[in-house]
Amino acid sequence: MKCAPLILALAACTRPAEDRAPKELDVGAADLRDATVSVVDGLAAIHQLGDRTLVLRANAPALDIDIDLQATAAGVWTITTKNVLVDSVLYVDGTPTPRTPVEGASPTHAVFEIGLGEGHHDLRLAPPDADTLASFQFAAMADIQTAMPEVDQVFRAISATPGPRFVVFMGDITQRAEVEEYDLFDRQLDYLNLPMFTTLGNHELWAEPERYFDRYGRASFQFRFKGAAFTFADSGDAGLDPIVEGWLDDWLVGAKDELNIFLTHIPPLDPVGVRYGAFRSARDGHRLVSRLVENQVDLALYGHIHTYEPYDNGGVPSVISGGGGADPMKLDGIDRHFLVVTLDPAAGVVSDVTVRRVEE
Amino acid sequence: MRLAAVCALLALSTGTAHADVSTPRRIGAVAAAIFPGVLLRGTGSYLVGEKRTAKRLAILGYSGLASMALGGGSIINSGASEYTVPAIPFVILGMGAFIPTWFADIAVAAGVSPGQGTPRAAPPWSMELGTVWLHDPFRARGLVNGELQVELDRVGFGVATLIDTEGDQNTEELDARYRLLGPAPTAQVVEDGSRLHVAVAGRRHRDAVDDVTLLTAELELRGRYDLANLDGVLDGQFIDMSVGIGLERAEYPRDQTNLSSVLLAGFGYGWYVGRGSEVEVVYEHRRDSITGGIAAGRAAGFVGSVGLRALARISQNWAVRGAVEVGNAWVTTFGIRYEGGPR
Repeated sequence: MKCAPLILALAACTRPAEDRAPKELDVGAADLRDATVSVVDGLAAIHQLGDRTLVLRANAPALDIDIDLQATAAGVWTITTKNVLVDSVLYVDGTPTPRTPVEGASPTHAVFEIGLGEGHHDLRLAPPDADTLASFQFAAMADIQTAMPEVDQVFRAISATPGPRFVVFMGDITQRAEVEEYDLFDRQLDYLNLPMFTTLGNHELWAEPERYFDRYGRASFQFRFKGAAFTFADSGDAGLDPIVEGWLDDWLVGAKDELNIFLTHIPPLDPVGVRYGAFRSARDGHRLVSRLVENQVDLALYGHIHTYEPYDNGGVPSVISGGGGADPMKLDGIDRHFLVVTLDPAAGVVSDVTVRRVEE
Repeated sequence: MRLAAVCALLALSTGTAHADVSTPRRIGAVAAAIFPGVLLRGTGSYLVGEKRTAKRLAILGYSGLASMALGGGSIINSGASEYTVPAIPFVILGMGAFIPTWFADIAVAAGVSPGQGTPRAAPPWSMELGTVWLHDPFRARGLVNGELQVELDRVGFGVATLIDTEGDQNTEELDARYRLLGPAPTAQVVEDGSRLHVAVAGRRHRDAVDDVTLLTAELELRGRYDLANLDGVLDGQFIDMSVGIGLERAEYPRDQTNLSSVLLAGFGYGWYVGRGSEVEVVYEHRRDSITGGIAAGRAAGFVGSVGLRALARISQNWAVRGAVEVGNAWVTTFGIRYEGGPR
């Protein structure tokens, strides 16, 4: 009942993400007096830009980074990249640069020391096969929340699974979006030997969204890897903001002729319709499904409901996988789990979606 | 400070059913009815001397709370398993008893006089023409609505349409209902407006911009309970409740379709005003309407819409109807209704 006034107050606002969505456009850009860094499409969060030092966290397998330096900033730069594929290579103006060995560092952390002169530089951080059309696997999961202290067990299980190149996460990392939870999550990621690319869930909105954006990057974004397009959307308020839908329209149309993977936290429509574990407006849910159908999405991945449920949504193969450990649904026989998805972009098909349970 | 002002306004602006209660006491009773009355049901009634009313409101309110706890507990405990989804209506209907009894207690504390309004039976037939303004994150549309209702003793039929003036959406609806309980459709003032209907409805909704067509079939139980039946002091107040289920077929581009279920559940609390007019606050749990659910922050996705509805009778045969509903959208309705048939 104490929520009633809050709910009534919020009722006045039909676009809760109206201010949040534009803030995503600030992700991946930073500047100093004599240096400007811009990650194309905001696919990384810049954690630090200092005296010839750049620290960023990737939210995609391949990054293109534009750096503009004035004479005073020229010199040897140390670029630390977190959350990258283990075989990532940094290309500086087209020239590959070896990693600087760092003892004890996570395989998803890479450090490069490069000489950069005055002027513009094109950097690309990607594995050598990033643009090669070939079959590959990735893992998918969502909804950790209160299970954060034990999520290392899930991460260890994923790390022990041969095949996946990276993990996609469909939101609800935390329960209350507290700094301590994010700190613990970052420590738990040390048990994962793959990078994790994520969008936010409704639980990340218990605090100001910048807390999420600053650490992990955009919530709505698209990347491509080996001929497959991955499109993430922020549905943390149980709907899409028109700004996000505008981006989505462009991204989905652009990926129509590729293997087209769509990910968001809250399913637009609950397969158990009467449960309403879905968008707050069923009509907006149908509107999104219509877009997915029109743009021939090959696989839609959702979280929010703490179970595993594959279903057909208007012909779009869809899977709810909320098995990160948060209050698991009972009576479904699943509990904690993650997905292993096999894509064959050359054939344009999702070859396989396998659920892997995680025991104690 | 604001709470005190509201209490004073409520206490001073209402009737004088219990003139022996002093104004300061009534202001205090209204304040206590609001809090702790939100939890201690009947507090306001008790403080103005209506102990029997307080007891009955508490019984009804806490029955609702128990229903909410049982239903909600099983859902939460199972992690919203589909096997416990049938408990959701118990939560909504429980709210339909718990929340309106809070409002009713505040009304008693404020001294709303019994018999301020009287219910009226449905007319043999009615026609309505109105306008609807829809404003949601994606749509700002002006709509025209029209409906015809015909009552043949226990059986009633309705046909309604909602058309976008710019052609972006249109909705057509047919419904048939059977009156299980309640007054015959005479359009006469009646002593008790309580009623119970079972209804079936079919609806087609097309949104050209979304490129989605929805076909819905519904079965619903709709009831009204005049609170005068609970206690005479509550005369003129009523609770509405509805529960049902629907089947929805969605048609998308590329000849794709989807079949799903829809939960129908809602409640309202209202007052009769004058001879047959009424005003009501409502909660609708369904999300498939043009209103959708409130963007309720942390609870987004779990909450339906709220609204204020009013029917004002302006002559023997004419009435105007207004409604403001807030969910994912603001939906404002204004209609004029003609009620016909022998009286």
